[in-house]
Amino acid sequence: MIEVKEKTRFLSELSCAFGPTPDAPRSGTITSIGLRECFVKTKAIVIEGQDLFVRVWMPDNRWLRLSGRVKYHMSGVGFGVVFAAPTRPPSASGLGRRGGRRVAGLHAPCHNVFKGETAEIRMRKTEAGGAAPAPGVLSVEGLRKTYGATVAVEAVTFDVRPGEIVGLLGPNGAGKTTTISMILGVLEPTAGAVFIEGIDVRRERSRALGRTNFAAVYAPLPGNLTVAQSLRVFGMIYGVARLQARIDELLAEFDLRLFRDTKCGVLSSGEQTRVALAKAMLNRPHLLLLDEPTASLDPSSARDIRARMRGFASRGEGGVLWTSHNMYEVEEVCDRVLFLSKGRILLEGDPRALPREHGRASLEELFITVAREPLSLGLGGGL
Amino acid sequence: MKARRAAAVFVRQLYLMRGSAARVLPLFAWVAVDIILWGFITRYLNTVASPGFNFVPALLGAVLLWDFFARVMHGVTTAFLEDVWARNFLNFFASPLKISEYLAGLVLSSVATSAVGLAVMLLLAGAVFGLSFAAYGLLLAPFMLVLFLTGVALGIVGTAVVLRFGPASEWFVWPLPALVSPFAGVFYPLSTLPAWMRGVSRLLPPSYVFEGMRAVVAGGAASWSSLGWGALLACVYILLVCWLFARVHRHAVRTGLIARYSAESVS
Repeated sequence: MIEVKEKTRFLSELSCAFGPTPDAPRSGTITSIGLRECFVKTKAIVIEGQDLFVRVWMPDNRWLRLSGRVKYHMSGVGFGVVFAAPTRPPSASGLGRRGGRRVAGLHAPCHNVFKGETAEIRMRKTEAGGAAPAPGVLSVEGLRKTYGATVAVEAVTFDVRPGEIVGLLGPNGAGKTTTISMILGVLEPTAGAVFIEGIDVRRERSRALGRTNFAAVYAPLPGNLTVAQSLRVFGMIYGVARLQARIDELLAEFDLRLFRDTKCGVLSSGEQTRVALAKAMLNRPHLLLLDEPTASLDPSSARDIRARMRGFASRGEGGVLWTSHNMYEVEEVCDRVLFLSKGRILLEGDPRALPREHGRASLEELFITVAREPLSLGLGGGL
Repeated sequence: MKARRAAAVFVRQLYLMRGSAARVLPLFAWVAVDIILWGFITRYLNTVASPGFNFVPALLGAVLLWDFFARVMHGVTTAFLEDVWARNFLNFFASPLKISEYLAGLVLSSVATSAVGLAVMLLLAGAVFGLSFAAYGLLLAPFMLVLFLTGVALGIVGTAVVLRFGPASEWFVWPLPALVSPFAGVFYPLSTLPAWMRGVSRLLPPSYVFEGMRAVVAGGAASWSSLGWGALLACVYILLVCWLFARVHRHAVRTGLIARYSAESVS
């Protein structure tokens, strides 16, 4: 049994009903809930500043009624509610484990419980009659980054599940790289949290990053080491077992055997990208972050890399967060996309269905519309 | 702390050294020039000064110990600067590598590079100018230890400065040993210094080493308690500078400097 402390925060995915009155409630999902506020994921539109109630269904079929005020609204994504009064979430026994057993209908592993500190209980709704889905390899919760008065990222919340490729899209300066930097622990969020397989990056950076890896155009491998030397150094850092065999495997997989003893700095940009991808795959990461991985590649090599990454994801080895400005590539590769603009997620969905849903001919056209005229799509709440 | 990760930082430096004359030569070339220059100066001084006093262990020994200290310091900072020059911060700091492991890797690199310099200096000073460290006896071990620890501490200060103020600030780092030397009393007794400088000297572990060394050369005995104090100070400095580096790293993570290091400032 977990004793819930005053600052307990629940990261959950619970169905809820909400509205100004209980007569005609609309439905949504609670993606995060704390003592003072929660975030409701829904496509329904609410008005900022509006008073409303939120009824949350609990695992034991009880429900919890909360009343509050809409703090911010993101069209197509959801809204944040500040409770009228600090609310103690329901008893821990209802949310966590009962005597060490799972609560019916929920997969509720409890972790990160520190005596006298914040306790966190991560929850996933079970599919009807089925097994609990695997927890996300990446959970980003209410991420915010400000530089003085400038807001770079605001209320960014999303998950990446095993075997899933999620595209993070947006115009230059939208906050994609800032988000990735925060996930990688090289940039501290002003608010919010990042969990890699349930491990808080802020608290246990090294353990969390041991399960991830990345490749980015702005982080080339040292040009003064050979390909094999680079892979050896980073293999040691990532604690790769049977390192030499793994290096040989990756050199073959990324067609780099000819360049084994060539310094990375003299390789073409496409070859350097392949080396960076080989490094990113060294530790068989559960979460792979790829920031424009095909930007320097010719179409044939880019297709090859896309196929490899799809293969990686489809084998269920890990999830991928992928940024790209090539919308055709995104359509081909990503299972889900998040459109980021001015630091906020404005749209989320299947890249093949989203354009149609918003009356656009292609993802590229939708991208341009989101970047230039989000209001024309009914987006831009809070921007 | 995982030793394999610290070893990775060290292995990277080994790879860089291998086959790179531009990196290997400075490990011993400048200290060798120093030993030759000061070796001849001490020979000359022995001919013009009053007989009975041997300048070789007093001056040349001091130069050797001081150069060892500077090599240790530069060993740490150069290993760090390799990551600055190669723009490798993101690859390292966005990995499971911990700050303690990274610093341990830099120190391992410095042990290797300073050992090369020390070996060459001992060879030259012994073979050409007849300097024998046997004159220092058992005290040589604490002398070297205190200088090594202080060199590491100063090296980490240098890395923290560069991390905080950007790549251009490396020019602050190179002259750091020269800045310390007047206070450390490398070539003269601390009693030569004015009171305020002696106050600073008391805070510098190398000053206890050089005072002890002069006492031994003069036929007396070095104070073990002074050396112990120097060693304790050096250990305290190591802890302090590790804390300082962690603070600077934290600042860089908070402001985004790590992610945009070449910009030098993002705040």
